[in-house]
Amino acid sequence: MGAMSCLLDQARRGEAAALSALYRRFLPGIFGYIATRVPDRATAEDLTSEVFLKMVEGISQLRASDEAGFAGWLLQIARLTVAAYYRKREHLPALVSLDPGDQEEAASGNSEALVRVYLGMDPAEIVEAQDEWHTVVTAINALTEEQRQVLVGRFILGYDVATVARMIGKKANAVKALQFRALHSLHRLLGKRGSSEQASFSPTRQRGGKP
Amino acid sequence: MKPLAERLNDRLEQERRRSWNGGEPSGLSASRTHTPASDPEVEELVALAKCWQANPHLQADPDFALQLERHLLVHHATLRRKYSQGRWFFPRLWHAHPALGLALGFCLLLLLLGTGMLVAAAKVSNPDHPLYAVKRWEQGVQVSLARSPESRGSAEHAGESCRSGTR
Repeated sequence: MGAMSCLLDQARRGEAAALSALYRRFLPGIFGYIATRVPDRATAEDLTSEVFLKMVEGISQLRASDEAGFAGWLLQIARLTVAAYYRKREHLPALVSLDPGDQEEAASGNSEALVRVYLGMDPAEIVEAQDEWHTVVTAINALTEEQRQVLVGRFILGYDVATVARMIGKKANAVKALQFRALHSLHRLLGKRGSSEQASFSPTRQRGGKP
Repeated sequence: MKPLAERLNDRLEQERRRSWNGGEPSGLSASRTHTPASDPEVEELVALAKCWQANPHLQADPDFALQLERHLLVHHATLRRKYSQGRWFFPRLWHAHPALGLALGFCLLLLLLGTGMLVAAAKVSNPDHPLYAVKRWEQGVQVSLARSPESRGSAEHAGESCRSGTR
């Protein structure tokens, strides 16, 4: 029995240490997946919390016994959580406050979360980087769900093709094709921003630092 | 020549292995120095993947991660407490002492079967029926347990009328 199967068994039995270990292992992947789906960091953090709370509530009924199966289950929860967020937002009327004080408050709440990311950049660069990130989110949302899951599995969770194939229930060749199509579509949608030296959607590069 | 998707995957695997070995910095310029210039399309996609991967927007804030972990553990403890309070006696006993739970379960099963048999025997009126003996025994017990002469008389009468009805 592998280490991950052991960990999953312990988590199913309700051991807090196993839950913590699973959380730490999968937080980057789930946060990364959600952060590429929603426009602001605060929402990404809220939805990530929701996903992990659902994980804690539902793990006793989980049938997956390996890492790929568990990652697939968790990403499925994340996908449904993001979908519910957009569904809820669709039904809410867009409220624009006429009070300038409210607008400032909203802006400061948003920038507080971004301060951590854009520390040391000037305001113009922050706005530019923020706009670029919105473009990335729009581009990622234009991909298919399978393409998004392949990107998360390969580049955030760091899995090989075989593991990603088990995670999404496809063959290795199909994963390679999905990976190619996902990156190709992103490249097209981002207008070759990612590959050109002078402009990149990575704010760290704009500052001249290494990513 | 391999298809483009295959070539791209080979290059990404190469980069993945390199980052695991921890040797060289990842980045667009680094990737370009190590690859043949004949596959610019693949290189552009690899660079894009790296930019995407290294984007700080994708990294969770350590404070947030710590707070969420604490919140999850508290939520988990609350759920466990609620679950153990809400669970019935028997599942809790089964969980704590399986042997005792098994013995208790067996006793309950015997009690259920015995009661069911007595109820079935009470309805039997045919003396050839295998449960008729049980019914006689049940009536004998009723007579012996009756304390007052009235109740003993009524129990005996019920037994007699039952027997005469079968004849």
